[in-house]
Amino acid sequence: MNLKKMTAALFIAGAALCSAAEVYDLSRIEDWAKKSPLKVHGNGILRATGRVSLFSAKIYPYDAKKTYTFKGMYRQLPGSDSNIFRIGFLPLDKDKKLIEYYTSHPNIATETVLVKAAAATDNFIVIKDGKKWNKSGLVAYNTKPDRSDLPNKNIIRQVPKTIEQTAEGWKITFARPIGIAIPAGTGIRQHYQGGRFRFAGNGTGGQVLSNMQFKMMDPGMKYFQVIVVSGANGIKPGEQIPVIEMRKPRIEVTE
Amino acid sequence: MKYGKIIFAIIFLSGISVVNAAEKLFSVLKDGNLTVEFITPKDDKACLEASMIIEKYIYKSTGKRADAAVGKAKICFQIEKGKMDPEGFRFSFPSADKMVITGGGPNGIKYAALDFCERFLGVRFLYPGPAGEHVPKIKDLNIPMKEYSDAPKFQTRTLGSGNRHWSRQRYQDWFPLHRGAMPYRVDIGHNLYKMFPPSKYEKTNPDFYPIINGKRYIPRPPRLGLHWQPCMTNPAVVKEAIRIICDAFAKNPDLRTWGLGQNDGDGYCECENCKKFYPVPDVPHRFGSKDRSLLYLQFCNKIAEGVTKKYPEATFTVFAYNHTSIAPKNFKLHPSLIPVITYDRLNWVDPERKAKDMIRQSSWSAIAKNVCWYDYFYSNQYVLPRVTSHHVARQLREGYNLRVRHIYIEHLPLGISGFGGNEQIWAEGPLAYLVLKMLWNPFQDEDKILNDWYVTAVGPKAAPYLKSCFDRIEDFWINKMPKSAWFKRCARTYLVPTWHDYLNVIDKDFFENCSKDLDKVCELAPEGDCKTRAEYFRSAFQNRRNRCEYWIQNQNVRLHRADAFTKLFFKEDFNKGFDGWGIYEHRKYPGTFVSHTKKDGYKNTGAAELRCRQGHTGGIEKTFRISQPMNFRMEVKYRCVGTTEKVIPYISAEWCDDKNEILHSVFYSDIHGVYSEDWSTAVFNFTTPYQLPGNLRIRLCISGSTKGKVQYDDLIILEAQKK
Repeated sequence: MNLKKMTAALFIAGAALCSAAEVYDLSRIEDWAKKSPLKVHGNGILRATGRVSLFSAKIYPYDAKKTYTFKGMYRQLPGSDSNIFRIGFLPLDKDKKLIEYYTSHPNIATETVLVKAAAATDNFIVIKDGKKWNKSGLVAYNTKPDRSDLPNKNIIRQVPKTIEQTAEGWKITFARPIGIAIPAGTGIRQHYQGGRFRFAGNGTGGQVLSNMQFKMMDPGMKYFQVIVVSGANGIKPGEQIPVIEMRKPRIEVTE
Repeated sequence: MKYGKIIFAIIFLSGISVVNAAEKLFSVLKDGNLTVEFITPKDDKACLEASMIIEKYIYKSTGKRADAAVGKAKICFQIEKGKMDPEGFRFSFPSADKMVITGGGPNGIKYAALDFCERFLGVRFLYPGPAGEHVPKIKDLNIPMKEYSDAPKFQTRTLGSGNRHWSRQRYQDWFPLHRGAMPYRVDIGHNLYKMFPPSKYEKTNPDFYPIINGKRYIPRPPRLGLHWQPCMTNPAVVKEAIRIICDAFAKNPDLRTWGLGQNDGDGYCECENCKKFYPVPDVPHRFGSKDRSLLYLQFCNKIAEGVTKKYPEATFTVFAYNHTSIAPKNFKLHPSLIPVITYDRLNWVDPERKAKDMIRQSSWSAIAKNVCWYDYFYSNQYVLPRVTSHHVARQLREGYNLRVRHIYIEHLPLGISGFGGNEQIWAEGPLAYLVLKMLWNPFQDEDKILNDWYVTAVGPKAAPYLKSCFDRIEDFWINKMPKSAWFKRCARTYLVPTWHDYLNVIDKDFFENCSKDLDKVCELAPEGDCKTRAEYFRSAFQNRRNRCEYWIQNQNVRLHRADAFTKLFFKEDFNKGFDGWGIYEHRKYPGTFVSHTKKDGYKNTGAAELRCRQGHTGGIEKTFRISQPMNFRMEVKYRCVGTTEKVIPYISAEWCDDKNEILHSVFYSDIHGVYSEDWSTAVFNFTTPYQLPGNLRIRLCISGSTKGKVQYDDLIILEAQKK
């Protein structure tokens, strides 16, 4: 083989390697957390019965520049058609700690500043603009308008009880003291509340899920752990205990 | 002789037993246990979904899940692309313990599973909703090990119900169970406006748009998709169309069909090049529109030629509709073009209309490889269920023989439709079931299918009475309705479902006879699902009967003399404005158009003024709560100021239920005033519906004129006790 041909062959092989997808295999029992109720049924088919939350045994690195896709097929066996199953992940930060939903999902329209210093014993804060504030969001402080503070763990874990406009600004009152002193001029906003899991796909009996892509939903996500939930909404009269089935489950990572 | 007969009988019977012994059987269920395992290829979603359909109905039938299988036999699923019709399928038995279900594509494998459920498990999907599903309980299932294959005769089999919407969900979930699922093999629809939106081309290519009345016409909202066509002789338009289609095909390898349906309405280009394709003399064709077939088809031909150079398998639909209804003579249509011939083929009950349509059909068949039928059922708007099962079955057979290979029917059986109302009652019995079966294969025996439907639905004893009821309804539509003034007035592309005067020719004892049949059905249907269905059919019919009888009653009230109404119900002189009135405007054409005049009204008093805007409909409205049965008479003065003669001043009464949801169109009455520059009176009578309390919404409206205004004054509503 001359040098030109060898170079070309090496280039093609290199290109093929580069374009090949990285795969996180989840098709064996040992790919899942130790107490998992999974059982093997046939080649690469895993099943679990009842109300289950299945976690991957490993934590996987996450790169926002790449595309992550749940491959394989996921379904519930017929008999519990109204029950829901979900395929998703737990978002983890650089320390492999869970990123709580309320630390990373800001209500951008509520971005403002504190106009009056608040004491830890106060059960209210006074902010510059509370027009878009609501009674369902938690309150984050030390916020930055460019959202570089996210995930922001500086959270007053209370929702506003009243929102009123006063001569000083907008007074936001809570049921209890806020528990932290915050100086005037501090950036502040509301954050949405949500569950711990982020789901790439939801299905009911009769549906087969496959090819579910997921992207970073939480700033600061560096790792993730896979979660599969089944039978979470209880068993309806006349229906059977749900059985979740995964066929060759895996995650493909592509550039 | 006697011994001869005995010997013959022995030979005959032994022959049968030999055949039985020779027929090998593949066991799927034994004593209620599943004896097969379902095997699907890795990562093949369509195969797993097909497997799930069978698993689901086995579970419903036996209570046994696929994971409880005993035995070593297998049912394997596979897709064999290219060798079979993509929607076709095959059952085969390569060995004693293996059944292979092969689909020609994802739809094919799904239809195989549905066929398995119907053929072997006895499942029937009778009508939308859980009560319409019939799943017999079985313990043993042995399938004859004979290879079997099937494929649809019609490639497109759509009973359309509108876009996905909660109000249509029951039907939209049911319809695919009869193998009428998306995606269609051809794309049908008004599409040119989507290809050439002014937002994209107005600045760079204004020459894409037509010359109308000597000026370049650039479409503007709300008519972006209406009453204009691109310039069909401009080579740049053709080139751009080819680029758009080829780009879309390149992006999606599964997409190889494109709708070239012209925009709805007229607006054909009048440039010198386009005019060369106008007929001489340029007079309306028999549907009343000017013929633009040649102009349109030469344009479509060029696009098809361009695209098929790169994608030879591509197909395109072209509308045989409105201005392009008639096929041009001696024209060579590109073989990839499929004409979509629009017509309500219930018109075929009239031999003369059928003969004319057959001439039109033949003219298209003469120039096209195969054609598509676009038909209209509009089921949810007919107050008497439009059940024409045998008629449609015959038509589909004829169509297939005329090289029709695609069928699209605007069915709209349930849910909100463009005609208003939200129908949720399935009153048309076996019609959709039969039509979907015949769309798969029109050469089946429709009576066999119908009898199976009746027996499965309500049991063998009640079935003849259910059949009798639906046969009577069909007899009305086929034999009585054609004698109505309604049918004569509806000599157009589709019969008008919101005019209900076909009821004028219904027999007096029609409803009573149908009700008697349905009472008998309820009496004879066995307890359980059959009884539930029987009662549902009876209540569905009763609902329609009430509506029909309301319409007949309302027509009688319309004829009542003025002196029958003595008591004042409501009066409005508009002297102080129109406080308490709301504004009614078409959701697509909103805008301020209502004003008040203090002195310009009737006898120089105040009046409401409605300004005309491009012919759009709008008006003012007021709602009243009504609890007692009553007859009403509504009178209002109006005059037209500076309008065109096409103006339609009209007043209407519309009934809503307790929750203010609009009732069926049968509960709507109106009267159209004529163009008048002097003060005139519009007046009509109407009655309350049978479901009270309800809300009466009255409207004073305008439509039709592009300029001027209509003034309304001195509205009076009188009432009379309903007898």
